[in-house]
Amino acid sequence: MGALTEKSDTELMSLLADGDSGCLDELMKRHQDLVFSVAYRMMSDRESALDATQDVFINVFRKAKYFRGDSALSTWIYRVTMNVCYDSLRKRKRHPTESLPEHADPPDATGEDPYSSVELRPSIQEALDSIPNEFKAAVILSDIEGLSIAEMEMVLGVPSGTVKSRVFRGRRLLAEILGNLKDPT
Amino acid sequence: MPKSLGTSKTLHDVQTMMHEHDLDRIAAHVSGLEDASALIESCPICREEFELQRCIKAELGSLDKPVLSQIEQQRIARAVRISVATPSQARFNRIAWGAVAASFVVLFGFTALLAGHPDGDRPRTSLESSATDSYSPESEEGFSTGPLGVPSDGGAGQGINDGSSDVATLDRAPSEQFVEFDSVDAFVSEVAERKSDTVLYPASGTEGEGRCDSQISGLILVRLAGRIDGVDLIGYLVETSTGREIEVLFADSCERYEFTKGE
Repeated sequence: MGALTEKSDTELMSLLADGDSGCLDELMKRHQDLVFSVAYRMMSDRESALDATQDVFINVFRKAKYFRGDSALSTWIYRVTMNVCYDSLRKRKRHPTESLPEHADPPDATGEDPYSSVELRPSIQEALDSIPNEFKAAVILSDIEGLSIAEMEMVLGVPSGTVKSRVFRGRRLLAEILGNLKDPT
Repeated sequence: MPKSLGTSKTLHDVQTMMHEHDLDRIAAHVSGLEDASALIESCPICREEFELQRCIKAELGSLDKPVLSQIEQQRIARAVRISVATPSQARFNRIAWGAVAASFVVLFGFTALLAGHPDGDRPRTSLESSATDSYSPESEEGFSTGPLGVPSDGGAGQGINDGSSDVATLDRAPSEQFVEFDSVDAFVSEVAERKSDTVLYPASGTEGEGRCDSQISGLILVRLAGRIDGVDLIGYLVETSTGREIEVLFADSCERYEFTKGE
């Protein structure tokens, strides 16, 4: 296993494409936080984000042969993550279920919430949840993940003009919901 | 001085407002991807838009990144490993294990039949034996019975039955029974509370040693198997040179589980 840690992402993906599933653990170690972070903001609840993270790595394994190495693996994984999240959100829309909002959980008796450091600020997360998915994805990738326009083009599969427009409109919608716009026009 | 239009707005203001506000460009400027400083400085509308976009970006950027806990990482890794086992592999495994099981059944059946007639008589079937065997006090004295109902009666038969009992012992799952806990904190508390238990587990080389005990340095005072969110853990209370410590290991890999209070 020591050798795997020294291999590049591209080498690991090449091995994975040849059916060496042992590489998956190493790839997961490297990229699972990235995947979970995006999935958590897109899905807005921890359980769904965990399911999405799991699905992403299953897809990474199954689609490893399609990774050509033209972009960084992280960019490709962002794209897989977005597709998984879009699918899950579509399914959720078709079969809506009542889930408890995380901030409505009963207070921890010990007073030490393990996830206190990832406090979901309801206002901004709720605002994110109420804008269309394509704008939500754009602002998450741009303003939370810090991707460049070129990377976002690849992740979202749209031209740079559309990326910029989605970021602008996404922020505008958030501003309206959060009340930053004093006189919306 | 720009010419006044009779209102509070100057001609310059109006000209500025009439220019095409490239709001997407301003958004890109906020993201640090393009330079639209000239636009922002020259036009109050563009400046206002810039401030608004900058504010939202700051709001989004201030959100902490969620982090996977160790247990969640284990859970995902396990689920992915199960899912990526290819159908052909799974099929091969099923066939292989099926063949092994069938071989054992045949072997046991054959040896048990032989055991039924150590003097070389014709093998009796289980139906024959159950129908023809008369009462034997041995059967009530704990002598085991072969898989096909043929009583074992010492000699070769006894040896065979000992062997089968060994197989059963090997096949048995580890003795730890995993108790469900809501959190690692509750699990660790339970381990700590058991410090008064009188059963001491020496750290090495004794019967009943847990599979992961070799990873623990020091005298194991308490060993407790727990399950949190589907992940099996083993908690130890250990006496070391610096005092008593609690160690938690993943039951399947015996790797150390780094826990924090409140987890």
